[in-house]
Amino acid sequence: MAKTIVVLSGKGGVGKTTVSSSLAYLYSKDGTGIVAVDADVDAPDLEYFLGGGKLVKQVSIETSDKAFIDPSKCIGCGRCVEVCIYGALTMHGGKAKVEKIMCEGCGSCMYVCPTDAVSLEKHSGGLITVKETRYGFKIVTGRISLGEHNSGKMVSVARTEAYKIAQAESLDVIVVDGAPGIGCPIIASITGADYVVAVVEPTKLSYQGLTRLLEVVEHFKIRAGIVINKYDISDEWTGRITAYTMSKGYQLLGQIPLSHEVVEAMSQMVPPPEYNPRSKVSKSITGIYREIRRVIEA
Amino acid sequence: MKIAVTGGKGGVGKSTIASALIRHYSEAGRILAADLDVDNPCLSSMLNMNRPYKVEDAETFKPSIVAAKCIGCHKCVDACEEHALYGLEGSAPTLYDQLCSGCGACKLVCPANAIEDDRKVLGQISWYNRGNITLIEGRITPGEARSPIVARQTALAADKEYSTGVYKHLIIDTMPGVANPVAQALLIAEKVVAVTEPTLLGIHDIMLTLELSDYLGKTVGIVINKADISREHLIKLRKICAEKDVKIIVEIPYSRDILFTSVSQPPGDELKAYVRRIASWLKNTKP
Repeated sequence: MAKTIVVLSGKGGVGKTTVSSSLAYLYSKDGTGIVAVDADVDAPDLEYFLGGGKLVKQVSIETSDKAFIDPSKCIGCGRCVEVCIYGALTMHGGKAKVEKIMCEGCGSCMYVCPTDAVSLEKHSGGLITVKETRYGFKIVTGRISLGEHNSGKMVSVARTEAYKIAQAESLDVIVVDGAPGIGCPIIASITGADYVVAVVEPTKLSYQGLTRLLEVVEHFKIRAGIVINKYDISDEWTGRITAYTMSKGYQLLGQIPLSHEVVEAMSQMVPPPEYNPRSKVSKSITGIYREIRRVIEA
Repeated sequence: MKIAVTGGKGGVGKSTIASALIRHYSEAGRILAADLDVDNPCLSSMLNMNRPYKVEDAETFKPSIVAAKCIGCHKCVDACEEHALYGLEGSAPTLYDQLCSGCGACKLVCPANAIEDDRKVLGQISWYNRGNITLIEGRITPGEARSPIVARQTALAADKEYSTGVYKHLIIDTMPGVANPVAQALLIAEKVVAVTEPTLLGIHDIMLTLELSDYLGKTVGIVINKADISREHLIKLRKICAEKDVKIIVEIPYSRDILFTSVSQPPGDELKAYVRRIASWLKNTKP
């Protein structure tokens, strides 16, 4: 069965996509059968790095129901406004109105309405696409509609799609690029996964994000290793993160130096190890990839 | 004035700009700040606030099923969109705590009044104070999934506190992305400062932010941070803003100084000058 590796960080902008695109590239270069998943469904960017081209499949996903109010039946009693814990209902000119992007489709307003003015309607909350990357393997991208809340479900659907591809094509590895944060979409991306790669930079904020992320990872009992990105910007925080990693019994997978080359590779939209395999950054990322590979196979 | 600082992609400088704006405004009066990045709140660290003076639980309803009253009709099971209630028809259902969203639909449909109120704690809302700045921070408990509810309760607490009238401004820092917790922040704001960077990812994500602000009918100004890291993408960003008729308030060059400065330090003179320009845009623009 294919192994699932999830790249996460807690804080945003520390290098998740840089690491996950490089991992996917290096795995495929070594001839491993892989499929990539972009589980940052709010702002999916991984396919840009991997050169997502030919569209293989596209499915629209109904993530939720939305409340719909029939104004001819609404008597303006306001009971729906009172019961809505999401603040999705307001009164306008004596009638209830639904702010669609706030509605979670729980149905409480429908149950409480004395005149049956509320109904639930299926709502297309997002899009799953499967594309072929420039390296030949496939990438599954989940993309959620504007302001939608049900990102966890989109992540699950995207992962299921990748799992089906892995089964059908007998692939060995699924690389998942996660979202920032520690909430619903992150929980959906790590449940049942084999390994979490936690990317951190040596700053107080990223360290705080890491500790909160690892609490979630521990909660779900997933194995994890740590990558310190831009490790040379602070000896103090690199030291603290290293000590924390050791004390918690996680593996330090490696360190990536600060380099403008990452920015250059990004503007060219290629993973750093392809942009210049001989650079210090690429060498450290390749070392991290080998370490992950060893740990996963062990 | 109520201002939200957002921007889509993570790590572009949302909290850096938000905290610098807060410090700027606090020189001239009392300021309320709200951290709605409930997954990873940063403002307390950045504003050097160590200990909250008040902590409240962010909590939600969860059903407590009184077996003696339950008639086993399972209307609650059918009503639960989250499938958090299960069991055999004819007997009282069991609650799977982790799936419950706290919406209360089960209680509303129960014909036997067999569902009573229980509470589930999702996180904390903490209140900090330092000098002229009061900060209300939402923080979800690791392992809990329902960030939108914690964000909403934090937003409501901030809005209520701001309505006391003692604060000159409310500055809200948001999560990355454009999901519900970001919408919660933008909804209560009058003006939006959207921070981005000239990379393909920054451009991709700022477009989503603009779409969301447009949907919510909010006035947006753009801050391009690290403006000099890619000429090509900077030009693209400028073009997009011109096409969409969105104002670029400032372009801030990449600075190694910021990178090597402790996050709890006040901004340097250079950043202060940019922040003054942001404040002047906020002052002179109609909502």
